[in-house]
Amino acid sequence: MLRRLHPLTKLLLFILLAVLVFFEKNPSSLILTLAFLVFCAAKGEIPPSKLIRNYRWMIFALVIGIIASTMVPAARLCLLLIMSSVLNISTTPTEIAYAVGMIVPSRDFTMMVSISLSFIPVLAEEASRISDAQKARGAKRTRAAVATVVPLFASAFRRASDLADAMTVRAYGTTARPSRLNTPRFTKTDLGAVLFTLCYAAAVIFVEVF
Amino acid sequence: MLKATDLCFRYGSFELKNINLNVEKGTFTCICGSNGSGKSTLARLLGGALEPKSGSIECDALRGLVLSNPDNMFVNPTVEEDVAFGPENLGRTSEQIRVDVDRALQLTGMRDYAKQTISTLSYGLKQRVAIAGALAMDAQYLILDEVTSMLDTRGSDMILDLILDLVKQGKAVVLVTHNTDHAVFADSVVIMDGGKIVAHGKPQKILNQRELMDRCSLRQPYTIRIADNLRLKGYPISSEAITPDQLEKEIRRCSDAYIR
Amino acid sequence: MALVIKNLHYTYKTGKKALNGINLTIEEGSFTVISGPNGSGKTTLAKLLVGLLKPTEGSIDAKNVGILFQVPENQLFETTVIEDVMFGPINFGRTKEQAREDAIKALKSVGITEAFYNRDPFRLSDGQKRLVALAGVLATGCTTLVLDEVAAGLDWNAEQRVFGILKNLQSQGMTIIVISHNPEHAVQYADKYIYLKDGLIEENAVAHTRIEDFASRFTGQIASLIQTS
Repeated sequence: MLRRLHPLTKLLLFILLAVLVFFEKNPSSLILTLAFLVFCAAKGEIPPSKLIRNYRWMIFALVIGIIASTMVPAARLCLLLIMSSVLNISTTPTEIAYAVGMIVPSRDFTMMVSISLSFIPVLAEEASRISDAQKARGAKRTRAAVATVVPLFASAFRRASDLADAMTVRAYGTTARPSRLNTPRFTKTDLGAVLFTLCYAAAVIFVEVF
Repeated sequence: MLKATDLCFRYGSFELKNINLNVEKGTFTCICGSNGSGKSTLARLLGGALEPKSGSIECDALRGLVLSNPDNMFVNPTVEEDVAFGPENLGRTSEQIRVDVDRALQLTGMRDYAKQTISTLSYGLKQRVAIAGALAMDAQYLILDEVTSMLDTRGSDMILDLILDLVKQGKAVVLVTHNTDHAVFADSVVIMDGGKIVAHGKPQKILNQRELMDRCSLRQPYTIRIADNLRLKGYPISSEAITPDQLEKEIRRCSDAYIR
Repeated sequence: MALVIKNLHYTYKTGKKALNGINLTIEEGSFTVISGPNGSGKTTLAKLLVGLLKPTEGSIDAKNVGILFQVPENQLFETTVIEDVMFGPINFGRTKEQAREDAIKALKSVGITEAFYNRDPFRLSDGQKRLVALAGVLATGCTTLVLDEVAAGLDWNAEQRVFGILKNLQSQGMTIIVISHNPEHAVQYADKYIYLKDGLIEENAVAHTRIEDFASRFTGQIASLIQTS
């Protein structure tokens, strides 16, 4: 169900929740938020195994928290990470870019977001191939990490140049008002999600203030 | 028709001089040359990514350009969204875009991959998505620059099959490559060297000229090399036979005659 | 023996089984071509040979193996040609002077002249970049050289030059292993030919016998015709 929501709804609610999390001090409200997120994940048909990957972060953050005696900020960080996962898994990069484009009405900006997201797997794989090549020439781990920057940047610039050519040829920039293949629509589900989230937010505020 | 007249281009110390070329719809043209011959620059000029210094290009329909590195051509993460990019930029309605995308995916055999993430596809399939992107814009002239250089034999064959299919359906395809094995299937072959066109004509005439190919640092196609070897051994293989099917027929003909 | 592989298995963390029990011996100073379709495990085998991956099962006995990957741009790290080639030897503990000597020797063996030493490797032509990357690997002092799709994207001239260099290195005692989907490389240059499919060796032969492996329709039918007539 989470996937059918309009991406703008999800994006705005995400921002609201992120801000809210930073005001949560009371353990009850933190637990309430966790319960809310678990509910969202269930509603988003997100398999627990994907979220479990984030428990590694949780344990890590909790350990740091205990060491630094700052458990609450550590818990907040965990919640934020889980929240981002839920958003990422239930929303395609194009939808996220579309939602961003509704807030920031610049097509170039939206394109930048969308293309950056598309290139993350490409550059990540390239970085791993570069570090393989370096390890093969005897570089130890830290040296390899630093030396990856030069070829990766060179590669990124080359790709940008090729891509610019490709986009020109595909008529990018010729119309002021380009259309879309799939336009997300607002439905009753969005209204329900917003109301539900506001109730949850009210509950958190109630717990915090009283 | 795509008509290039007296094209000139300069990039640093490299120059493209007086290129004259006509491409008809429904034909497969292969432009062959070694690296540095200017073929990639010509591809970009023909495809509209570069403006010539002097001379002109006239075309009665839209041109599409596909480059060699499939990692650097995609704008949106999924197949159908990326193919839709071109039509979206042309300001078509959502319904029309849907039709265009479906048709392009159908032509390239990528219908089943419509919702898939591009980064999970093999290079061969990625190239097909790129070609679909050009077809979705109703490009009638497809300029393909070294699209097989990062593919293995099987992937290359798939693209060649696609090219021959598209030509049969009336599109014009210009394939720029240093791999002369593809050129045996072309209707017309253009050889480039040092920024100029040095030969232009039917593949049977051009690809058989060993001295020309050597001069331009091009390997002769395998089929022609095999035919040459057979001729040296005394088999009268016709020099008109340059595709594998034609060569097979000739070999059968010769061995039948020999047996008798 | 330059290389002895016994019962080699490799499974990726995702569960995908890349190699299913490979047995292989390669003699010192020989020229081997490993061919096979994409996904047959060729690159995985290359990474195992050089030590980037550890076998899931089985053993590899190989010393001093260097590898040249497919894309030269992923293997050029420094701002000048000479410094880039020195990268390897410095990592292996050579002093700056020794590394420079190693680098110059390697660059000479691939035909890169002194005029190029201080140039930016990223501004060279594709063929030249590959030669510099190759020099970078040779400078590490490896005795076995693995090359992954060394001819991809090269035109005829450049390809011949590279293979000429490899044959030269072989004559000086280097063991060469070329991974290539183009079986012509085997027919032209190899002493030994391995065809890998689905993680298993399908054919392990002296090169000239497998001509029908020109898998594409270009010559497959013809080759089989020649054999039957």
